[in-house]
Amino acid sequence: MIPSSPVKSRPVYLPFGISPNVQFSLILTDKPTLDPSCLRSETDPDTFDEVWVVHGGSTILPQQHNGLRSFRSVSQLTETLAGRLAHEQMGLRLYAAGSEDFIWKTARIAEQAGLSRDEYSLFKLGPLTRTVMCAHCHTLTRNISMTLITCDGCGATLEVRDHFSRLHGAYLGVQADAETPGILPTVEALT
Amino acid sequence: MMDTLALRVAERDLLSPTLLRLRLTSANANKLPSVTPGSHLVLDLPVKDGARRNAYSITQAGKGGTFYEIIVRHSPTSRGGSAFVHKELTVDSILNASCPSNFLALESTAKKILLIGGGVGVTPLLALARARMERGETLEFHQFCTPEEKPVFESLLAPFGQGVACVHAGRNALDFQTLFRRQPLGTYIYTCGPNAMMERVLTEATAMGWPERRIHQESFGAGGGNPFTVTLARTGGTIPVAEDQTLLDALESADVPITSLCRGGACGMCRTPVLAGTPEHRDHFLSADEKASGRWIMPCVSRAHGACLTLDL
Ligand code: FES
Repeated sequence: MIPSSPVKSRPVYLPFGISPNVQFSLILTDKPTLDPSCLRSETDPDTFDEVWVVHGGSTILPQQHNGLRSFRSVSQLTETLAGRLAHEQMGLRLYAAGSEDFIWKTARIAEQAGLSRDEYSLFKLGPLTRTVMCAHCHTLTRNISMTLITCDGCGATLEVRDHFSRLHGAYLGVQADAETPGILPTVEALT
Repeated sequence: MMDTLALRVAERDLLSPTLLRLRLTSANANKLPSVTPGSHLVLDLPVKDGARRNAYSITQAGKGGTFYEIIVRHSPTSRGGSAFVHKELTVDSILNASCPSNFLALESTAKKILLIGGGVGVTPLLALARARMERGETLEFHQFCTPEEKPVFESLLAPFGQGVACVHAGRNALDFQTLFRRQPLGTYIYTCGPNAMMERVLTEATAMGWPERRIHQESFGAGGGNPFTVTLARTGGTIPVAEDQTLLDALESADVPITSLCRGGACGMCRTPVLAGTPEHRDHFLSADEKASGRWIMPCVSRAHGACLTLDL
């Protein structure tokens, strides 16, 4: 489902479709406006049995879905998910679409509930921004689009690496002038 | 090459007219190699017309390498290894065996395991179930057998308790769909028994959304089928394969060098190229595409559709 990219730990996401023949399918998203163009053409959002959305206040897609549930926050959704999966049966497929830290948070809950990699799919939505974890103070800094950032926690200037932590759903950021103090690499846009 | 173990028959216990339980200890008072649940042992059986190497699951292993226990089914039509075990082996008989190997290991992340056995396919499942029970982990065990054998299997499964283990007389005594639908997330299936039963488990479960990787199967070399003839393209010989003999046994009896390990279609060691004829695949090693191509066969379990097969040997 997730082929490797040149840097091993950096996930590559495929557009997803729904597995046929499943007993129950649940899609989770933290993007209230789930852009249908992200889904493979044959995927109709209405075919999910339930859609769980972290509601950001704007329109929710799909508009009229019977199994639609709104959540106030990511943590409210993930807690509900853990409780729900504890009582679910085999034949379930879980899909998570949204920001990288959100989808990997749900992946962790899925694994804890006993789902294997064949039973959940992750899809990254939205701008190419990253969440960066500071290697020094472990603070997460969100919505990063450039290769050099200032850590929200310790204020260090961090260089954003391609190394991705599935546990934290974040890329690693390390002190940018660690090799030659005072000399910073050039700032580039992340791809 | 593989290490050989010398084993002594320490106990012999006829469970039913056709099921014999043997307790094997080391013939030279050594500690037996420790085994993981699901392992099997390949016994060298010196039958009259040569040697048979039969794989038997270890149903129980003594703590500290003190013994292995196996259960051997003797089918009335068999002239091969199992007949030898039933008729010739007595307490204190000495046998050679290869070191145990395991192709049915427990999944460490399983939240639950669902065991489905048919007939003597119960053997590897007993070891898996016992290991889960000893660790206090969840399991559910369903065993199919004939009505006559129900009491024997009930006593084999008794240690797991009612509600956990259940013996069904007749193949339609259990509805797989209902069973599969109520399994919690994180369940793995382990099935061993006749091919038709394992096929049914696989098809019904995958049709309900179980990933294939959640279903582990083990077949045993026996099974039998129509007799056929193999032609060896390189060496030019022809070898008959009897109905109660595996292709691997036939090749070995004719001294054709061929490597094998599991003798149950799981490890891939015996893979042999096919040049002509249509294999009847019974293994779990080749992919569906490889099977469809007809270019390979696993002689330890698979046979031929039709009367002959030509192998690149
Ligand atoms: S010996 Fe293992 S697949 Fe044949």
